[in-house]
Amino acid sequence: MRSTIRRRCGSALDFALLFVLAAFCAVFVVWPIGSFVWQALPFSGSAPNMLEVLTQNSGAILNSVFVAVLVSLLSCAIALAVALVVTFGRRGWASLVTGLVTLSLASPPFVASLAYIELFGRRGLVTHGLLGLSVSPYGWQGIVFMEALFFTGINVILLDSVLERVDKSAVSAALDLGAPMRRVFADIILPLLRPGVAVCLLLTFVRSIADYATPVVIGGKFETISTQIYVRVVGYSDLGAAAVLNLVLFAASFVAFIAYRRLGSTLDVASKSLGASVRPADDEAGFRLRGALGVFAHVVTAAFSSAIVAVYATIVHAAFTKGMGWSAPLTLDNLTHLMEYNVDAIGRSILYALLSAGASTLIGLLAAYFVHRRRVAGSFLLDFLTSLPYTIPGICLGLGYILAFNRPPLELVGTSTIIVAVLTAKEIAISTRAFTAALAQVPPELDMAAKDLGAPDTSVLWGVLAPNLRSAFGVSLINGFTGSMMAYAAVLFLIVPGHKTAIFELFDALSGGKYGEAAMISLALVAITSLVCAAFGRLLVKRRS
Amino acid sequence: MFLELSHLSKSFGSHEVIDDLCLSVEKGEVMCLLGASGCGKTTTLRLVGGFLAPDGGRVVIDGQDVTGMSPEIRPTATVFQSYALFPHMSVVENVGYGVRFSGATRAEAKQRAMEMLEAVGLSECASSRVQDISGGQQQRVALARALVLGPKVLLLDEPFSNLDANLRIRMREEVRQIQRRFGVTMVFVTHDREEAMSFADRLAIMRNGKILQVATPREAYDHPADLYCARFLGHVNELDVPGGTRFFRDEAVTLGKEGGVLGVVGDATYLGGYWRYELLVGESRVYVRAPANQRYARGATVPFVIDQTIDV
Repeated sequence: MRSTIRRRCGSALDFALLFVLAAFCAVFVVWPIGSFVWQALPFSGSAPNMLEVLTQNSGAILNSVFVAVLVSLLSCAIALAVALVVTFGRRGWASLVTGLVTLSLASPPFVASLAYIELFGRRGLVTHGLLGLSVSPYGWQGIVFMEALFFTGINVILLDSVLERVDKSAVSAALDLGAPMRRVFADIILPLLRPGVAVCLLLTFVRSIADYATPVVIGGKFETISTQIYVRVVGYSDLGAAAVLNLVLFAASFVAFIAYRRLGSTLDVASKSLGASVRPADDEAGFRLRGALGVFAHVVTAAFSSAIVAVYATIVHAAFTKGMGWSAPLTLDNLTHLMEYNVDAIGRSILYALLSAGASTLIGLLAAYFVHRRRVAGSFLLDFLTSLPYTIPGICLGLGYILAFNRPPLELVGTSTIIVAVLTAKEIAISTRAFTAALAQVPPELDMAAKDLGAPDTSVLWGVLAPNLRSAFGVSLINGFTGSMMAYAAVLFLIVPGHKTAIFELFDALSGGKYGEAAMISLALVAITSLVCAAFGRLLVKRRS
Repeated sequence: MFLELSHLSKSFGSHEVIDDLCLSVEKGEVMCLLGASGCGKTTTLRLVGGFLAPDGGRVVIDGQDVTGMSPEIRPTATVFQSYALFPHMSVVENVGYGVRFSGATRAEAKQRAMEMLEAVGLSECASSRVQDISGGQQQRVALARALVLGPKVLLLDEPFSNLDANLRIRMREEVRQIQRRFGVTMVFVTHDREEAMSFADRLAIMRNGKILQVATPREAYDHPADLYCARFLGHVNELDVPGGTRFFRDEAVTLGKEGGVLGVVGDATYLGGYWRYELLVGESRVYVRAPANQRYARGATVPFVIDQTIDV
């Protein structure tokens, strides 16, 4: 009797969880995205003339495409070189580079631009301090350089994961059959890399085209689609035109996502080859970075590493000096200013980031469980919806949110709820992917055994599966926290003056020319993110076995 | 009958995996589903356990139709091929896991789990982590975890395939003893004929989703339903002699006895206690067994008599 009641409660809870997942997708994914797409379509009420908007902004669109193509090519070339060093280079050097790549991944969005202005601006340490020039740093060159530098990190991670799957014994076999090292690269490693490089190019293209933070800071008069969307919304309150431009970004990212899906499946096939680490031990034959390729890879990696080091050195320098230039006196003013004026904003950022990291982890777990484990009806749709917010540019998503939530029934604009919701939606995809991958490691017989022993579905999830997914919880929380802490474009339209987050304070300081204060906020953000991630990282450590 | 499968069918997409399958198992009996991989034996087990819903047909246990019951309420328990022990729980927590869902308190669950561990001789590992015990012990934990719920039918999927050869034989005996002690009805799946013959009361030989023959191991070996069943349980020689084709087992001949057939020794293998000779008889090739003291050189012509044939 007691067990029957318990079972009933179990299945009600199970249904409730599925409902939570579906409701979140409906309210915070379908509705906002649907809202801006509807707004842009010619048969909606406030129909803008689509063609007119596009011709008016053709300059910005071309600019965006031009920058995005250059950034993709440059960033992928750098990433390939760095990934080769990370995978095949000497151990110590490789881990140092890995550390720098990780640092670049967890950087606030304006850090590179800030350092760029400090180094190459009118009063820049290099251009003015060393060369005695006074040149404007603003323009497309800066955008290309900064984006390429900071999109490289994620590409390195992706390419490295592909390179790690190179079958060590295939390399040994090629060497054994008499292939010289460059042929091993061309015949064994390159074919495996090709889909990975294609994915990197595509994703970088979309990231660049959707990037708002870099062009707005160092683009100067150079207009891109994202900056135009901002100007349309904030300057002219022309939501229709903004929605049309948004649709352009949406379409580009959607095409890239489909292509990624198709190429991604070839990546998965490649992953089936064995071999723990492809890096040969010192006394073992295997692929080594030598010859022209080796020189190229090491030189580019050294340049990339120095650039990252230079960025952070500049930030630290700017944070603790007064004014610009080599002879600027040391000061703690910026720290005092931070403690006095920015603590609230930083606290808010941490709170939002913790809430959205928690929420996206929970929803990601549910999505992975229902979609990939249980394969409930409508799984394909749920899978698509949970990955959609991640694929579309932050600025698109943010615009969708104001369009959807600025009037009843859900008037959320101006509340903290909408901020947490948009940040959560943005991180679900990664979270789901982490849990899906971890679930794949848990044999399906475990679920069957638990059910066979009488466990209701919810007990299987919490009692049997969740305890075996510790590392996925870690990955999801770290990613969710970092992503939310550094989010700018997605919340651009949603933050109201009294409730600014640290990133907005950073932007305000930066655009007000207070580079020292901006640098100090950047440092604080990096420090906090590292600390919190280190705490979550404990989940990644395997328990004693 | 205690367990009755009637007219079960199951397709995955357009592929028919189980085709109008009927099988009856008596109370306390050990029934083996034997067949090559892909014959549908594991699917049949999943249908009995309630992990899959059949497209048609019924599963009746002890007079109760359980076809629509989900696994958590069905009176069956499964021991999985991989054991499916919960890696984050200790041995006793694993065994007590299912007891909690029958309404027992935590203390009762632990009490019953300990009693069951005692019965399978594992009390001393009760608080060990499941990764830290041996393969044979893991199997007994899986068995205890299933038996503690007092299932009417115990289902085992390739129960010994994860154990090395020596341990396999020992575990077979141990599991058989536990089965006798609890008198539980068992259905197990294997592709290993030796395992099937040594462990089962009766075999059901499967092919392409159908049962070809249900019989005791001896009946099935000596009187197979067809040539496929015959070959599945051991090598079958095929020889054309005046009056038709004869089928016979390797050991069903007397080598060196005149009055039968003449063969030329092609190859000789000593298999410990007996010889296995390859004999060429005209165009045909047969394999026969002979005692250790009957040594023939390669190329020798040897007479032999077929003592027993298989009628198929």
